[in-house]
Amino acid sequence: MEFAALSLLFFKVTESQNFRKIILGISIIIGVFLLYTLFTSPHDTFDSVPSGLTSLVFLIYSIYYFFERIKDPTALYLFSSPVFWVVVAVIIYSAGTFFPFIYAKNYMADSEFFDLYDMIHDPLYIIRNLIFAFAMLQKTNTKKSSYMAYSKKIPKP
Amino acid sequence: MILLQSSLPSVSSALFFGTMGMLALAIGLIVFIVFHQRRVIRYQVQLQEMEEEQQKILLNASIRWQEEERQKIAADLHDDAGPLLATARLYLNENLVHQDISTQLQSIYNAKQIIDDTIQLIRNISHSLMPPTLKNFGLESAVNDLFQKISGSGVVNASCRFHDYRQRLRPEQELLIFRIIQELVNNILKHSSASFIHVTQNYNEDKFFIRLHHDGRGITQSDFDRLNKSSLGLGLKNIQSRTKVLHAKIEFERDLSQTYFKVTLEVPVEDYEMIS
Repeated sequence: MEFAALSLLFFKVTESQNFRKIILGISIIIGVFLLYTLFTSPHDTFDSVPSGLTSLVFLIYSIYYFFERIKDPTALYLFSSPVFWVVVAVIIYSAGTFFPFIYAKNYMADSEFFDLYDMIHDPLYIIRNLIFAFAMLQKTNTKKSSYMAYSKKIPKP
Repeated sequence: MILLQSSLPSVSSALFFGTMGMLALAIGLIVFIVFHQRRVIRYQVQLQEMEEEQQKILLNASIRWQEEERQKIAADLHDDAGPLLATARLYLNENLVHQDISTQLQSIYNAKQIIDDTIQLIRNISHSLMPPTLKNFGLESAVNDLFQKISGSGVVNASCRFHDYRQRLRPEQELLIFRIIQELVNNILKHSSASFIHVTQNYNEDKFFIRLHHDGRGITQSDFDRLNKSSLGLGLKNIQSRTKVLHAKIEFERDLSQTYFKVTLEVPVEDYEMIS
């Protein structure tokens, strides 16, 4: 569900038609793979490959989103955009959990690894949700933020 | 299981450093985006400030021009119309009734002459504010009229040709275009030592084009931009502010043959209605 929702978000915010097609293709392939592993893999083990793959895909989507924003000189309202903060949350969480997810399948049984996994995963999970909440608050402020509001904050050169 | 236990410390360190590395990269990317964004905003603010500065210069030029025009009208009225009317009043004073009939007739005739001169003077002032040819017959006739007067001097050969002027533009737009042409011609006469001035008009893809050629010393677009930013060139600033009001573009260039200077005024017609 999370993968589908975030893929849809990236699909909507990406301006390049070619990359949209790539997102659609990747999302369908990985979606099918996720459904397959959901029904075939045993329930008492951690699905490292689908989780790691999902993190990797979101990292690529996020980097491309930032790349598009840098290319667009008219994107002045980036910090007041909720999508920007959602992408920030996604990139931090995906980057931070990529290695724990990859290793989790083989080492989750070990308590030392489990503790380290929790130590990495839980704060990142909280940070991600806090940034999501911040993004939702940004949405109500979008209309208030203006170009002049930024210009007042910046000292004159 | 034993193998797993023995490899755990290395896995933990790989996991820790790998995660830290990935996080550092992600946060580094976000910080880069934030700084880049701030730089873009700062650049936009600078551009806006420059634009405001330019607007201020144009506004000042426009106000100065208006003041100069008012002073000119005031001087014309005070120095010419005032003495003329005062002289006419002298001829028509109370003592006139005590004088003989021939002196009375002579005084009335002189007063009439002076009042006619005053009427002509006021008419000239009024025409300089709004040319009647432009108001009644349109831009083509007004430019033709202006160029006939210039050619009449015998110093410069001025001609114009309107290729596609089936419909008149709105009066205020025609006046602005006419004033731009007047200012350009005035500058050419003052500074360029040209032997001919030629104006053509065209209409293409909802755009009204005026092209002016002359063979004297002219300016290019870079000179025009430079003079617009400096305190010099009041006339050019007026051209620029009128061009802005028209939502038009003006381009100063040297002909490809390097013989003539060319000025092109491009006025979008969809911005205002044409009147038949």
